[in-house]
Amino acid sequence: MSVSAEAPIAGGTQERTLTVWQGRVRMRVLSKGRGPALVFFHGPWGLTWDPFLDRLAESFTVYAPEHPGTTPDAHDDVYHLDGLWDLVLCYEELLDALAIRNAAFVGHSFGGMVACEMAAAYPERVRRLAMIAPLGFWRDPDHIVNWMMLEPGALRAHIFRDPDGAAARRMFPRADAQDAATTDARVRLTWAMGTTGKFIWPIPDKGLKKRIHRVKAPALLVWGRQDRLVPAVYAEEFTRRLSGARLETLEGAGHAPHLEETDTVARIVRDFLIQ
Amino acid sequence: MWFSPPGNQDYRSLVATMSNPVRRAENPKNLRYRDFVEKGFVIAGSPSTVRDRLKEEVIKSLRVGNLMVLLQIGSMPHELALENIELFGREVLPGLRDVWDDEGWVNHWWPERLRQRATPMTAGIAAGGA
Repeated sequence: MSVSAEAPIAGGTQERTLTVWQGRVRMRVLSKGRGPALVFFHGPWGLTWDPFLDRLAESFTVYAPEHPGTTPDAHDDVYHLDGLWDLVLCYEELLDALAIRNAAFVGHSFGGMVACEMAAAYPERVRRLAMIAPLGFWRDPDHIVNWMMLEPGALRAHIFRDPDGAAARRMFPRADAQDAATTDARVRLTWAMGTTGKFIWPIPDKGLKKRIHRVKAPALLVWGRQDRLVPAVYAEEFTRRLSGARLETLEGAGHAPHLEETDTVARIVRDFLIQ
Repeated sequence: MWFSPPGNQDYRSLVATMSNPVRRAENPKNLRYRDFVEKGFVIAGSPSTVRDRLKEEVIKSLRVGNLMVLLQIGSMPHELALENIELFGREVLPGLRDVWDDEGWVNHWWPERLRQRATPMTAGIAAGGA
């Protein structure tokens, strides 16, 4: 049986695969839009070109790279990166390969942490930094559920405000289906969690608190009050370390506000980035 | 449920597992000893029975190169465990060691010193106690 677990690519997006890390890591980058450069760092569930990115592409040239290992036919490339330090360097090489000197950074969840690490490592390369429910800190009283150990039903309920809504159904295949497309989707989701989880297992705090002071870019945090994966109180860890950081809390949103309240989050992010 | 949690398998294994998910196994509480033996969940019996079933149903059909045997199971008493080890070593193992000799298979993973002591050890089944 041939399985190609690949991200569906929406119409109008361009894709190119760039090779970095001594020719060992291939990263596909989806791009679309016009205007200033914006780099989007996806979360633990892989990159899908979604309506949120379409909205951003109305005002920016959006570049959405795939986390190493999640690019089709380049699954094993992730083995060439041993830790977060490697990953950050790898992304910097990717920016060079894309000829992006600096850009607006937007990241979700794991990708929010990566964007913040990038902004700390290379302050000059980030114009403005927007993070949606980013990982990066750990507080014992507000522990973050290890989403990689949840069974799919519970995982859906932790990511989405509405586990049966359209956004959840786009990410998760039906539990009872066994066709090839469903298998593809399951493989893609599991592999994306494995390849991102590699850099944060078992606790998603890799010492960002020691580096975050280096961030120079103005920062925005978007959080869902109903986030069951990374509680909204974590916003405080960012806002007290990033002077002038803005926080937008969405009362009815979960861990993926940009997918469930696309218009609102897209507007907030765009308004912040074009200032 | 997940057939495999993230990060537990390489990509090819993940694809294989997801493509051929494990069917729900029988509930062992509904099975009697005879069922366990007949369905092959357990290989038990005289040394020759154990040897033949291991050889045909396990080693040859699955192309096993190394058997790791655990000869004391559960509440098995000490004396019985000793007898079991004795029987396996004397009456089962000799019939399995040379299974792959004809194919010229070399067991690169078997300790060199042990390889020299027993013959034939450069090829064939090596059994290690648990």
